[in-house]
Amino acid sequence: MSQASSMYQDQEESETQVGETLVEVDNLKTYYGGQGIFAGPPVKAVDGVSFDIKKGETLGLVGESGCGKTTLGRTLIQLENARGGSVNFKGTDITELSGKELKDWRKNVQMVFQDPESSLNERMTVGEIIKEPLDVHDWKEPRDRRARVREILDIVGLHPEHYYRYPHQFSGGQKQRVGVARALALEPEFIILDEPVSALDASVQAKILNLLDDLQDRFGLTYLLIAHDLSVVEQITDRVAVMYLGHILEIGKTDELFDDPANPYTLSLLSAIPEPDPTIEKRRITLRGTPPNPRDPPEGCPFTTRCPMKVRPEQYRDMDDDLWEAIEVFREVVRERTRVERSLTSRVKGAIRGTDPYGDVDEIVEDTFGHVEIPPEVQPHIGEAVEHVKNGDEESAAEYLKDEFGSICDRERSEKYRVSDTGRTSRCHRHAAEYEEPRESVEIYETT
Amino acid sequence: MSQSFAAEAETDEDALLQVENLQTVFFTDKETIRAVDGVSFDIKRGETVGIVGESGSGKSVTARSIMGLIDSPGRIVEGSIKYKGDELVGNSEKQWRQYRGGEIAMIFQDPLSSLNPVYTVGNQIKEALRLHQGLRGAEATQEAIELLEAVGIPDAPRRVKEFPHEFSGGMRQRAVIATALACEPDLLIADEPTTALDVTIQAQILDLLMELKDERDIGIMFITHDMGVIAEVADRVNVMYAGEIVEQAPVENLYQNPMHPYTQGLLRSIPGRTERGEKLATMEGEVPTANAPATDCRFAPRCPEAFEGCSEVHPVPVQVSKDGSDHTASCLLYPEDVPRDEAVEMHRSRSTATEEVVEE
Repeated sequence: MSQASSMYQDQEESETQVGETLVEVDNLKTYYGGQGIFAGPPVKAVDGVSFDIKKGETLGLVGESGCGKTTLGRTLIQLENARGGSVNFKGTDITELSGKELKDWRKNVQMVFQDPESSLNERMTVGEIIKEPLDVHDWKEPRDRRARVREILDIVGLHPEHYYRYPHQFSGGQKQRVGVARALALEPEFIILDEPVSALDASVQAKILNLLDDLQDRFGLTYLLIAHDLSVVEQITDRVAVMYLGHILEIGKTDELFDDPANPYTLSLLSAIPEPDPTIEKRRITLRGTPPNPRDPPEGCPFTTRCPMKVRPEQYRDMDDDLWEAIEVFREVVRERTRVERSLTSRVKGAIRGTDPYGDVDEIVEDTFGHVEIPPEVQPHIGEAVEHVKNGDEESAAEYLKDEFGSICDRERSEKYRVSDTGRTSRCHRHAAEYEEPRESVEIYETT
Repeated sequence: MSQSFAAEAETDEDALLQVENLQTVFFTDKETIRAVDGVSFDIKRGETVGIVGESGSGKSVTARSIMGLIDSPGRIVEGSIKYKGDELVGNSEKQWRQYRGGEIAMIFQDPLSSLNPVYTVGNQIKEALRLHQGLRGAEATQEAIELLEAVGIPDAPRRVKEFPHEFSGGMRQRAVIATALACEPDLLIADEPTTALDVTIQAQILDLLMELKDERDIGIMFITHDMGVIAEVADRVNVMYAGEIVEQAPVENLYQNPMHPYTQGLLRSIPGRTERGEKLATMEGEVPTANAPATDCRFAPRCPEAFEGCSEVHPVPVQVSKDGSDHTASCLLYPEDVPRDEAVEMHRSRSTATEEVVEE
């Protein structure tokens, strides 16, 4: 064991010191598709993110599924090609690397995957699995490789006799230890942990998290922890980045971010964590619906379609909350409809009848606004939009509603605002001087 | 006496579901697995009963036993399941069908695999309506739309004609819930209904389930491994370990005063209850597979408080409540107010007594 740590130290003499920047990501973009004459718009999985990771720290990356966190992780180690921007790893832009250079560089970074069941080859023994990266990079002599594998087995808390066993003979927690061992084999500096414990039971989870923590202390590793379980992130990270629809909305120190979230999305996300204590009466902000389709993201702030703290236009600022919510729901329904590819039959029917293909927009209005009173100054705008939908022109309806009820949130992306002394940043128009801060803009937070 | 042995199962008249000493065993060539080994609990109307435990503790098999979904080589060998007073164990497949779906409905963890990909969502809801309520045609479509609206799916008239792949994860789970509600069941079994979902969507689904429970006055059996979710939704909680219920308590008692060493360990190991940056407490070992009737405490090998008695005597449920509520734990450490030898003796005599009853 002491041998292992000395090996690391030797290697590290000329390396980056703890606290210095190890990875610097600048305006990184990863798109899928969208190239070629006939291609539709690309899926913007990662759309211009910038941050850096310091040597020896753990950066958490959280967000809902589909927000691009895994794609971002994969792009950082060049498993996906970036469409724009740069990733500087100790001064080298790795998005420019290829061939032998890329392969050599890859020794520095490894990844631990979510599901140990599917990320380990069933037909290889555990020893072979851990040895594979060593073989691929032609690390020393075969004898040294086998010795190295035994050493790593010990480091991750497995036994030497496990060398010849197959993955199916292990429990979930042990399999994940094998996954960690494989990542450690080449003595990387930077490890991406993609949901490393989400497939495990609580008591096993704790063991793996403790192991990761120990390894970091021992070898000075740098982690990027991708997770959707926020309590895990709170527990083991130093800083957190909150991602939504390909953008980082807030990034900063874990303690601060969890105690005093600045961005409306962070506020909502944190309030949704179930508290393992039934006596705490938590005021939960339940978000409506799901994130929008990344193929057709909103024009303004990515979170605008669900934001409970959205800036309202001047004339509607004092509107009843239920009515405002109903209008937002109605807008979302219309917006959704513009995206639906209509079948031929429904288009033919629409053409024959000359009306909206689903023939029931009145019913939608009834359902959406049934429980609220629509004041006379709002009624004509809803009516106008309904007319557009009835003519089968959802696009104009959505446009009309946006002009009437939209605000800066629907039109422009927010700048990055510095929200604390330690350099935490958040993207939200409400941080601008002329608006109320997100937290103050809704009553829901007064009680917490 | 503040702590006494649990009284012999009282028959609770208003219980919707009563499970008594349920034993579901799987007979394979290699071994006999006692997946559910003597489980008893009940569920009342308008109440959410949580079942927590790690994988392999028998939570899902308990649920499937209640739905009559145990297939060979599995069999319910012992015990009774009473729904509104009717005995379900021993029913023929035809009899089960009258309850399954219509009276007792179940929602599963993965909504994508519980929906048929080649039928529209509307069709699948209509199938349930046709089978259990005899609705057809336009009437059924209208009802399906109303159900989708009831579970909070916007633009239901359009959505009803879409296929499962066109729905997002949370929306699919809503559709599954709509299907489950189609027949107005009185008991809903939710097997890890939010495990595959994001926290924001999980919050929506939990809100929805609680709303539906209050609106329709149904009983919910909520299975999960997430202690946070249970704290939020359950009124009473059963903690399962290796096929047995080791602790039963109202939700506040369980979290404030966990009595069984397993529950204590479980609560210590979750990140939400540990100080930030602190090491998480861990439990050594893993959940064992129960192959033979228990003659000892199955948690003893992992228990920090185990003593000699634990490997010799099978603990029975003991009242451990300090405030008069119904809180039991199956552990030789209790009752606390009698000397340990005496407590062990009481457990021994009680567990042999139940064995004799079983043999009769």
